Amino acid sequence: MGWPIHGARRLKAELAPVQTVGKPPQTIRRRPAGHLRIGLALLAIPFLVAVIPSVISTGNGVDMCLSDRLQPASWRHPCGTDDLGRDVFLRSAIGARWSLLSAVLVVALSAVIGVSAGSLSGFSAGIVDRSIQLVLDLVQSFPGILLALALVTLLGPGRKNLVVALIFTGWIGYARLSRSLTIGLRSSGYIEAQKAIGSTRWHIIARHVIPNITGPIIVLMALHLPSVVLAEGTLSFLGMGAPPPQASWGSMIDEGRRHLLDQPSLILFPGFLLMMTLMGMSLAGEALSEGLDPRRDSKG
Amino acid sequence: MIRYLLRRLLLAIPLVVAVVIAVFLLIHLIPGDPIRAMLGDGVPVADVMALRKKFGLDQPLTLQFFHYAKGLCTLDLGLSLHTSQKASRLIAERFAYTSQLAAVGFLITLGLSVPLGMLAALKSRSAIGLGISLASSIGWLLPAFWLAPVLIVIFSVKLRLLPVSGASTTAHLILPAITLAVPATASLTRLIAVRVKEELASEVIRAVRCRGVCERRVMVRHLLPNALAPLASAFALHSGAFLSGAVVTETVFAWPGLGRLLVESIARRDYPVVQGCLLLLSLLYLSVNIAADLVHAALDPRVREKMPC
Repeated sequence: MGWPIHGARRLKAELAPVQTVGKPPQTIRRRPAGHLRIGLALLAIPFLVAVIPSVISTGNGVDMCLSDRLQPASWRHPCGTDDLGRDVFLRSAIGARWSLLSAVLVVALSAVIGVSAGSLSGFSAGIVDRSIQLVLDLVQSFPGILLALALVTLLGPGRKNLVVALIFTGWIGYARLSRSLTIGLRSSGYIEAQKAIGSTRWHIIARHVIPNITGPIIVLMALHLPSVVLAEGTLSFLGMGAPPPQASWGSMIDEGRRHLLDQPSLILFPGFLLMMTLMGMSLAGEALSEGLDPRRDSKG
Repeated sequence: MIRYLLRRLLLAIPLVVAVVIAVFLLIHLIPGDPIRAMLGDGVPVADVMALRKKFGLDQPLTLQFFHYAKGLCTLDLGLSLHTSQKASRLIAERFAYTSQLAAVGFLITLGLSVPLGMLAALKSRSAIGLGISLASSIGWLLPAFWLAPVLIVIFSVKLRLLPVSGASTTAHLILPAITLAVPATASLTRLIAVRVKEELASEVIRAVRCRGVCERRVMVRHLLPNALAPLASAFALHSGAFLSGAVVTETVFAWPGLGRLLVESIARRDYPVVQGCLLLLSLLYLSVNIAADLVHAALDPRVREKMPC
């Protein structure tokens, strides 16, 4: 069954436990459980950072203290201070709270909107389906973050508008996925039966379609989460997020660029937290998607 | 194939029209008056009215749209509210820089991700393969706005090899292009590795191997075309990330491209230029997607058959 093992692969193959005959030597064996554990461990870092300062500190991360500007790391300021004397650790913690919270909010609301629109579109044919499709195509013809950028311009920068803009670009994926899943379900026996006994469209969608498509939707939510965190960071970096005294990872990195040489921790620490969040979320998401749906197309 | 091409192009027309309308409406959905926002408070009403007249904002919406659409046909996007230059000229100048950057970034991405992806798939059990897959799963997540300053510190400040920012020499191009290419390379490498692994296990490849075809020929003639055909559309989807990456990269490296123009114009509330940038970027994105569909169809006859209509 398998192809000949040659070269550098041989040693590894010999060291590995004996392959059962007839099974091709699989590519890297993914262990979803292991991925999940590593992912959650990485995610714990930003979570802890988000929680700790509210226990041990009374600062709000906004008040300036010019006598303390650009302090190196110390017991009082674990990651030093920025050019206005604000504690980098505390500000990163506030950024962490905001990033995690907004990502969850965006993903949840996008999923609700997208799944409702998508299952409605998939379930009903004709004008409803066509018009929802048109909206989807239209929103999709703008590259995601540029659309969010344009929307924030339109609504004015700020945290609330940033979330609105990210939801506006985020629900598309859910709508597409749930539409195609719903079309797959439409002709199945129990849906036919529901139609035959005269259930209304909304009743069938809410009680029979949506519960049957939750698996893939949850997977999509898990994979969507890190991209929202990244998009939120990018937009904050471009000045589209919270206005200046407020802290978020993106805006901290933007402000920190002025002191790239004398105080690199200004960008390194929020960047580190961002990376841990992204990596943790995507590892956990991958594990979840493999655990929930083994037949899923591998899309990398 | 010609039929497929015509159909695909026809399907794109309503979308292009819708994009033009959406971009036009953008300026009119803004709460408040762009002219007032531009001038600030406490400006005499007469001045505001004069400016409104100059930019044609005093006419009814349908008439404005008519003028806008007429202008578009002659590539006239109106005047920049900031410099009173022609927006189209401003955008064309900046677009030259962005296309330069994107082209180099694209070449780096393609040149690295295909061999790396193949290597990762073929040697997936060796240290090289594991290293590549680890690196690509980290590189995929490197935010451009964090990677760029870090690269500047390493290569410009510590090693003094490359300039920090600007666009006067070829050396200025290197760091922005790398910043743009890293996440794209990483995610494409992952995709290619997955596809190549799938193909390696396919019956086609097994049959070809059984016939005793030499390994190199198996790879070049049979494996690569099959594995890479669906990647054209994946690449088109990535081009969106590429464009948004360009916005950040150009901002950090002070590269005078379209993305930076967009961010600057947003900050200055220079709406004709914002409109023009958005229009150009989304039309580009659309055409990249169409081109990718065409490439996919050219490589895979099955796609041509199941064209939706």
